[in-house]
Amino acid sequence: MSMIKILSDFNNRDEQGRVRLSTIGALRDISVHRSELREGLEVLLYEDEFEMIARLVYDLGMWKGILREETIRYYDEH
Amino acid sequence: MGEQRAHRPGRVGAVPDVHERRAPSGTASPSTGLSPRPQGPAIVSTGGSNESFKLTVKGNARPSAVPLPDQTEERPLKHEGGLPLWPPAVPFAGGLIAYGLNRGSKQTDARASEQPATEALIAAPGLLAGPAEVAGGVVRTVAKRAVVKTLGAIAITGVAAVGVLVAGGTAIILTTNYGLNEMIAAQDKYNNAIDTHRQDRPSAAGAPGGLPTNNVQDDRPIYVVRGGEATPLNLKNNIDTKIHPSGVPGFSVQSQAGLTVPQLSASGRFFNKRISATTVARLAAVGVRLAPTSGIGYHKTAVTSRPLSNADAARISAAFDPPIPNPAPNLARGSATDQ
Repeated sequence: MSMIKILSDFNNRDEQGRVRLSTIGALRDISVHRSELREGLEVLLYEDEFEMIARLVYDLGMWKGILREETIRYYDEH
Repeated sequence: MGEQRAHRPGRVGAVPDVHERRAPSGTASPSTGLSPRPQGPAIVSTGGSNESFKLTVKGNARPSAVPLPDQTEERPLKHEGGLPLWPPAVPFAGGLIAYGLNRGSKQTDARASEQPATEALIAAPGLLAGPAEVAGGVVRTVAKRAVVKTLGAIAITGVAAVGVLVAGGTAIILTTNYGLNEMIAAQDKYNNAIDTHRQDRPSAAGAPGGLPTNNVQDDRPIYVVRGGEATPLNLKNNIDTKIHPSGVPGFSVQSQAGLTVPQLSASGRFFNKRISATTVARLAAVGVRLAPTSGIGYHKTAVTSRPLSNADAARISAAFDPPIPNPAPNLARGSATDQ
């Protein structure tokens, strides 16, 4: 089963470095997979330059992604 | 600013061209009293700033102090230059009076051997009458003939007429333009300072919803940095409505007064290989204010409207400089990969 991909803004991180999945692009993708999301689920967060696996948590009324930085993959390197 | 410069006193360009004032041959007004008298080149020099004093000699061929054949005493005073006549007249009269005093003193000395000293003291006031009367007559003549009438603009530009000496039909005019160029330079510096303040100072209107904005404390720009390329589509997709408690929409940036672009890049721990940077002033120019919000580093929210129209997104994107290599790339990947 393929990993859920969520368009993310990696500039938009909380003090703990978690990506807030509350941007327009992220909410658009989340709305497609809303029924599948759960805490602890690994998803693929992506933007224009790279993508990275993150683990979902629900905090303060929004989904957030805890980054697995070792999984980063730049599109121009592959 | 342009208006200020247009009204700035002391500009050399404000000196009228006397050649343009001269009535063309045969086109003078029938009222000779209103026609400019034929005259030579301007006697005022607008030379370089290094010359503290300008000495300009009006040619001997133009005995401006002598009445012209077609002139009468009843002719109204011509004063197109707008120069008050007292500045040159006062020192001139004073000089003649001093001359009279000196001469009278010499005559008194010459008679000292023949008459008592007390008589010399009594006679001295009488000696003043002659030169003073002559001086007054000359001053009146000068005034009526409007010998100097091309210095009007100079008088209001700060150039002071030091004195006028009329001798044998030759007018020697000493003028000084000391301080003129310094005054212009000071005005330019002031105008530039105003421009600088306007460029970097956010609008007093503040952010929508009464949110606090970055206040500029000095003239240094406040940088705003964002990881990646701030394209219009990137900005539109990354508008967030939940990042601020009041629900004000915006996109995330790193910004803090006094920090450089590399410092802000480091604080944001960007994974991007490129970053986009701008300033608070440039964002304010396109209607975007910064609101402090919680987040990594010096996180701020660039407050926009929602939904962000394509035109607004394009304007905001254009406010950013073209992307540059990330000066402080996030190195966490290497350490994490090694684990």
